[in-house]
Amino acid sequence: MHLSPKEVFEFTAFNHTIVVTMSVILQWIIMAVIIVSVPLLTRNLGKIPSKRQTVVEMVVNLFNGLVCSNLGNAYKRRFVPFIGTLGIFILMMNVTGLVGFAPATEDLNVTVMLALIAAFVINANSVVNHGLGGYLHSYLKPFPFMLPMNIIEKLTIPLSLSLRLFINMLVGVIFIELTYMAMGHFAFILPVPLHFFFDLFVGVIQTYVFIMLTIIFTKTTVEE
Amino acid sequence: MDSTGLIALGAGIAALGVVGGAIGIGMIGSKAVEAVARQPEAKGDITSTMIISIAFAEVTSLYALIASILLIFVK
Repeated sequence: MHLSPKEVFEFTAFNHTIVVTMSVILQWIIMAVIIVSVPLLTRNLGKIPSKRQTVVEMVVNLFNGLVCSNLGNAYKRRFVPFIGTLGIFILMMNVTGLVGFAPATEDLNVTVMLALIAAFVINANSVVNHGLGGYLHSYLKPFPFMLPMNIIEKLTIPLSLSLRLFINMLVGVIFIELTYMAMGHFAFILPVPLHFFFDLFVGVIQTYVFIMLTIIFTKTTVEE
Repeated sequence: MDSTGLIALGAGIAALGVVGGAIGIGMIGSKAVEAVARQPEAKGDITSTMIISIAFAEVTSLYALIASILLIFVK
């Protein structure tokens, strides 16, 4: 068992060796699943919803409710697609343990990428709302000598977002791998509750925490 | 010099830091239960606030855990 991500294959392009890891391939598969399933699920929507449409509307209403109750209706068109994509993508990465692969989010590179995207959106939203001058001026609030504190506060957002998701999924992977190692060829029945807790429960909770924290950090930058 | 034993000892001591986060999460949970018992109609808001507070309290113990895991796995 080791911390570095599992390498699958590598190729050389423009004198650089690019290593493709397992988490990258899992993300490709998940992206393909999302890209294929979204047009299939949203085909011929009607006034009278079918079963399929009811489920899709429930998911969309969930994200609508999360964004509108925290940020207000003005953010619906701008933020629901981003928050929804982030939520579905992270959730699907967290539950790949159920189909036999370690979750893609147990790789620190993946979670840092997600957290950097979220931090970029948070800061860009502040720039859009207050203008560049207002954004830079918010670093000097409430007093100019608070500048180092404000910079540290901005830097800890991606740090805590990425490490929280990474460690929570890594602990689950370590526990499940230790169980499989201890049970050897007799690994049945007992790992099932572990998968249920560490993959499904922790995965869903961490997805919720990630998107809620993105929304709340956005809200704090708007109110400044 | 072989330092495996010292590494294991250090990892164990580093993991003791999770106690603080556990106490914090326990206090958050107990207060949330009291709040729901006092105002059952505000259950949804209290639950989402509780989960966010738990996430903030949890990350401090996760930092202790990452120190322990890094001590074991990164040579």
